[in-house]
Amino acid sequence: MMLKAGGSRRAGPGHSFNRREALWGFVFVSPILLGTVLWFIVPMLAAVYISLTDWTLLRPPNFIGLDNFRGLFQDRIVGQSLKVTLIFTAAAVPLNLLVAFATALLLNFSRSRTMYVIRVLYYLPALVPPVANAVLWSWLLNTEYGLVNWMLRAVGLPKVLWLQDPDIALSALIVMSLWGFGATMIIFLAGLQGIPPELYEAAKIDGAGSRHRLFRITIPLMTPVIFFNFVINMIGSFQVFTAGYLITAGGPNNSTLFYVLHLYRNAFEFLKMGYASAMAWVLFFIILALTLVVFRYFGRDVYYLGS
Amino acid sequence: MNARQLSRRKFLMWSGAIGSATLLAACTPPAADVGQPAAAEGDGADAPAAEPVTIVAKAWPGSPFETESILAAIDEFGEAYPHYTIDWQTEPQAYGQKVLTQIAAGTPPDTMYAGSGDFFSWVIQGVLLDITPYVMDHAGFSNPEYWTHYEEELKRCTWEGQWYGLGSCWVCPHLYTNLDVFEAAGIDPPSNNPEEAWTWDEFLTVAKALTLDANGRHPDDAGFDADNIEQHGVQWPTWFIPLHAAIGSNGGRYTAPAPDGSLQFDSPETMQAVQMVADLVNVHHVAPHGAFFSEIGMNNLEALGSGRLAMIADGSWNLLRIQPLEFNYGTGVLPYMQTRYTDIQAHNQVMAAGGKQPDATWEFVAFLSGDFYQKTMCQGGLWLPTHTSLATPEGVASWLNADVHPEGYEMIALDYVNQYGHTMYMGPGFWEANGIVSSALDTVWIGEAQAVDALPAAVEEANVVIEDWRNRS
Repeated sequence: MMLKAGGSRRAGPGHSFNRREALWGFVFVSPILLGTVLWFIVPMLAAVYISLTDWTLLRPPNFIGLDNFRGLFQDRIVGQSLKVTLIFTAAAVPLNLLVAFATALLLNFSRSRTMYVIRVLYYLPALVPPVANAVLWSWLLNTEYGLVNWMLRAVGLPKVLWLQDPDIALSALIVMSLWGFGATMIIFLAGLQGIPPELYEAAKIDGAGSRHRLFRITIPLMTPVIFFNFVINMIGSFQVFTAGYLITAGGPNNSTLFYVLHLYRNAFEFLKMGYASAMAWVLFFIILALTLVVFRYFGRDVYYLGS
Repeated sequence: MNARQLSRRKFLMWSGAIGSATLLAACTPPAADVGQPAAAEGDGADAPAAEPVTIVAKAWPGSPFETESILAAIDEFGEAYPHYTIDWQTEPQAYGQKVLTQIAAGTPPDTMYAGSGDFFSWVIQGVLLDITPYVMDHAGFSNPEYWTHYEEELKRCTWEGQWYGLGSCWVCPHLYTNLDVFEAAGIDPPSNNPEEAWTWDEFLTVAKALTLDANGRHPDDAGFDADNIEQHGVQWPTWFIPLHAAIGSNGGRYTAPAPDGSLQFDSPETMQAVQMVADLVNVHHVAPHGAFFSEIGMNNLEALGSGRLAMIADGSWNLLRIQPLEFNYGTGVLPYMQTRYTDIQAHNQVMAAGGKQPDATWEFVAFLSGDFYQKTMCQGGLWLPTHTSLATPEGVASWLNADVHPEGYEMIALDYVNQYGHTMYMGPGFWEANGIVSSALDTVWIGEAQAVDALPAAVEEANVVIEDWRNRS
C-alpha cells in the first residue's frame, strides 16, 4: 500500500522508483553483504584450496591432494582435542540451558522494578569480554589466592588444584562457561513473556497447579526457544577457544586442548596452514552433521504456537 | 531556509551512504607496495643522511628494566642519527605468530627479535634477510676475535655459511642458592668456578642434607615424611633450557645438530639424564613436584628467598628478578653427570627479508648489537656478554654490578659460558615435536612412568613432524 502511494506521487514510472529504492537498500546493506563475502565466503572457499596444500604461511603452497585430511584422521592429538571438545559440549550446553531456563523462570515471576534490576544484574556477566572473563576466572580459580579455594577452606574442605590437575581442569572450564548464561537467559525470558497469559488463566480455572502449568504450558510453548538456544549453544561450544588458550594453554597434559585451540596452534604456531584449514573444514562438517541430527531428532518435538 | 532543509529520508540516505563508504574504506587493505625483497647490498641511496628515516622494530615486551634500557639505547642512537625515528613495537601475546602474520601479509617490520626456538625455522622459510654482506663489511662483527665464543656464535647466527642475525647476548642456566640456608646447615655453597663444579653425586648429597621434613628429618633418615617436606634441597625446572643442560652434562643430546634437528630423547644418555632429573623428585625427594609452587602460591625464586628451597637451577636472566627480593642469594655452576655443560642461547636481532630500507635498518641493528646496549643489559643482570671488549678486566668492570652479581659471577658469565656453554639447534617443527615429547615427559616427571618406557614411542611420533618439515625444506 505504502509503495503504491509513494510511487503515485513521483513523476517517473513506478518501476524506476522501485529500482532506486532497491539501490538504496543495497547501499545500506552493502557493509554486511561485503563483509560476509570478503570475510566469510571468500576465506571459506580459500580454506578449501589451502586445505589441499602444504602452505606454511611464508612459502608458496604446494598441492598435496587429500594428504592433510588423511593425516588428520591418524593424528592422536586431533583425536584428543575432539574428545575434549565433545565432553565440553556434552556437559556445558545442557548445564547452560538448564541454569539459564531456571533463572529465566524465576525472573519471570514478577515485573516489579526490583526484578528489572535483578535481570540486568544476571545479564551483565554476558557482556564481559571473553578475555576479561578468562583473566577473572584464572584469579578466582588460583590454587592459593583464589576465591573459590578460599571458600572451600572456609568450610573446612581441602583446596583443589583447579587448573593444574588434568582430571579437574576441564570441569573447571565447564563451570566457568556457565558464567555467561545471561545471553541464553535473556532469550528464554523473552520467550516466556511471549506466552499468552490467558493460557495460564484458563489452566488455573481448570485447577492446574504450578507444576502442571510448567510442564503442560510453559515448556511445550518454549520448545522453539529451547531448541534455538540448544542449537546456538552447541555450535558455539564446538568453537570454544579463549579459556583453553588463555587460562590453561590446553594443558595440563592436553586435558583442555579444545579443537579450535589445536587448529589455531597448527595454523600459527606450527605454521601448518593447510592442515589447519583441513581441520576447520572437518569441524564445519562435524557441526553441520550434528546440527542436522539435532534438527532431525529433536526438531520434530518442537511445538510452534499457531502452527 | 527551506532550500537548505534536508528531508528525513534524504538525511537517512546520505548518512547511510556515508557510513557505508566509511566502513568500506576502513576495510580496504593499505595499497602499499610491499613484499618486494630488497637487495642486501645497497649504496645507501634508500636512506640519505638528511632524509628522515622511520625504523619499525618488533619485540616482545620485557620488564620495566628492559624497557628503560631500550629507550636509553634508542636515545643514544638518536644522538648519532638524529634523522632516525625508531618505532619500537612490542607484542605481549603470541609474538611469533603476529610477526609471521605481518610478514605473510607483506608488511614486515624492519627489524625484530627472533627467539632461539624460531630463528632457524624463519631462516629456512625465507623470512629473514641474509645480512652476510653487512656483517662482513663491519670491522667488529666480521672479526672472530670480536666474539667471546665465536664457534657457538656461528652456530646460532648462520645457516649454510650465511649470517641471518646477530646474537643479542648469552644466557645460561646455573644454580641460585639461599646462602642463609647453606650457612644454617653448615654446608659450603656451590662455586662459580666451573672447575670446582659438583658431580651429580656430590650435588645429590648436598641436596639431601638440605631437605627437611616437618620433623627435621632428611630423606635418608628413618621415618622421613615425604608428604610433609618443609624445605627442599633443590628445584630443577624441566623446560627445555635447564633440561638441555642436564642432558648435555650426561653426554646426551636434546636435538641432533643442524640440519637434522630430530629429537634425541630415545638415546640412552638422554633418557638416563631425564630419569636422574625426575628421580630428584620421585625417588630422592629432594625436589618439589610440579604443582608445588602453585600450592604454596609462590614462584621458585620466591620459594628460594623464603627458604622453602635451598637451590634452584634456573636461567642467568633471573638475576634481574632475584635481586629485588632482597635475600642473601648466591650463584654457582651447575653440577654435572658426566661432563661439565650448560645451555647457552638468546634471541637474535634480525632483519626481515621484505624490508624496504635494509641499509638504514642495518645502522640501527649494528648499534643494538654493539657494546652500549649489551653493557646496559648486563649491568641489570639480564644478559651475559658476547663481546670480547666486555670480557677484559676493564670490560668486566664496566658491567659487573655488586648490587646484582654475587662475588665471582664473572666466572659464570665468561669461563663457564665460553668453555662449557653449548647452543642447541631448534629447527622447523621443533615446537610441535617438543610438545609431543613434553606430554610423555609429564608422566616421567610425576613418577608414573620411567623415561625408558615413556620416551621412545613419543620420540618416534615427534620426529615424524621434524622429518616432514625437513622433507619440505
